[in-house]
Amino acid sequence: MTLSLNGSMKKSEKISIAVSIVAMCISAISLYISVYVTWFAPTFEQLVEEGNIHLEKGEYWKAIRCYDKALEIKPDDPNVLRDKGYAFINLGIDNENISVTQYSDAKKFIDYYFECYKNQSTMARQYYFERAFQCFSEAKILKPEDPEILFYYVSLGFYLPTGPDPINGFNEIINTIENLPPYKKEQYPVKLIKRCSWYGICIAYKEYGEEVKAEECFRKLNETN
Amino acid sequence: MNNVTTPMILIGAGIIFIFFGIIGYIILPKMGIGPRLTKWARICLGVTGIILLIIGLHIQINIYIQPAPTVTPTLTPTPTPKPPIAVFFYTPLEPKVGDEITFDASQSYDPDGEIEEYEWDFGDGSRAKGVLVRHSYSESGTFTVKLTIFDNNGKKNESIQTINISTKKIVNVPDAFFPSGWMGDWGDITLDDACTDNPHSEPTCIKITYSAAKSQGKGWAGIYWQYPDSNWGDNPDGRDLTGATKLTFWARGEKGGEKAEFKVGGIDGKYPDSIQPPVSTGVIVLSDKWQQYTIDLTGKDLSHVIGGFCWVTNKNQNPYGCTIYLDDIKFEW
Repeated sequence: MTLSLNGSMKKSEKISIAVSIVAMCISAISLYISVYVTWFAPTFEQLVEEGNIHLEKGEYWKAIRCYDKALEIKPDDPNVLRDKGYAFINLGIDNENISVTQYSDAKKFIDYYFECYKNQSTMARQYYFERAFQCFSEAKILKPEDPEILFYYVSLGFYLPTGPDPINGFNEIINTIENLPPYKKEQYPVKLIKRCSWYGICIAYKEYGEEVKAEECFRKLNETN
Repeated sequence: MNNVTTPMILIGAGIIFIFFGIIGYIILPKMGIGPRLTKWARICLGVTGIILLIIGLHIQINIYIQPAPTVTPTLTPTPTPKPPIAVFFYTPLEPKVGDEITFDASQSYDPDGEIEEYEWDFGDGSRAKGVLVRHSYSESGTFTVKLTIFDNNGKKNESIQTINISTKKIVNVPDAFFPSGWMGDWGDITLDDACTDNPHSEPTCIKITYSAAKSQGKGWAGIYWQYPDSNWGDNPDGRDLTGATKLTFWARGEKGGEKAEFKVGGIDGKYPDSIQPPVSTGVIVLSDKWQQYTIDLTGKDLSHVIGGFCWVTNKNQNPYGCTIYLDDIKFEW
């Protein structure tokens, strides 16, 4: 009797011990996850910084992974979307000697299309430019007056048949810049983007075969310089 | 008895002996007074008297002929005061226009007293007093520097040296480079390169305002003064500043306590800066008064400078942003 009782108690004890162990494991894992998430998981700033480092090093996929994680934390950050767009642009360019990572690469990005990309386009590279365009489109909605974002959004129109019309797009950028407060218009990158937008219009006229307009455009551009 | 008494006694004795010889031989016998001396007694008296007289005279004569004895002075005679010796040095040894030259007369000395006054004449119409003085020349040329020192005995001495002031070669960064390299959160930066708000050198200075708003999401911002405009190392052009020894600039903060770092060179790329890695001041805290800073460039390769000057800061250093002023940014030889 004692034995059977002991035996049945042992069985129930085993079950209860097993359940307790499982519960403890789940609790420990939950605790670990919550502690990790709370104290040890990379912050938004850390992810963006890490992404920027990868971007500078030319490690574009690693940069994109960091930016995606950052966007999980702050989905509406236009700067991260812009930087992710840069990463896709560089994947599309697929040339380790050319990198586009900031406002000052604006002219380089337009020139690259006509000097290198135009006749070497592939489906894969087209795909990356589409992804870049998607990033800049979202960033543009969130930050509609950012000249840098606007410039790359419009410039991708050269690369994508479905992208914005460069002439209209660059004219809109120029108008946007004109409407900025005076101190912002004096910021060197803003002035550079305005000049590159003029350059983009001239290049677009040339691309569309409007030689007279293109010449006139370049003449005015040189005068302003 | 002293030296004078002895001959006088001898002379006196000689005279008495002779006198008694004569008296005893001639007078007394005639007068019939006293005993009559023998012949040999009279001769002895006379000869002895003559000998004594001769000896006494001889000694007396010797006394008068001998030079006067040297009288040992009882006081040390006062020596003639000697003049001080004027010596001076100056640094730097190859001064240029505007350089602060240190003139040092501390090696001057006075062998028998103390130097009380140091007077300087720099040869350009300027004068100064003091053992250690500083002076700068506003023009090039050769100048005669005269140091005059006066000691406590009223003696003076001069030292004269000619000093050659050569024309200083400078390259002003704002004239040779463009503030085109805006970095990081460039949207947080406002640059006024013709600010008239208390410049260090009239008429203008550079005013930079950083808002720390993270406009581009970076958390830092900076500006490179580049040549040519917007050259991030993709343009083969650059400035050859070979021989420049330093970059100097003046800076102040609007309130004091603003933090920033300043650099020269360091732009990489296909045609990178010849100064690699960049030479930096490190993070410095500005005061609200103008202060000069120097970046030492001795030994650096300045043959291809594209990032002539760089200011950089971040949100951690200036959480609420900052406004700083810069002036007289120049490379010097």
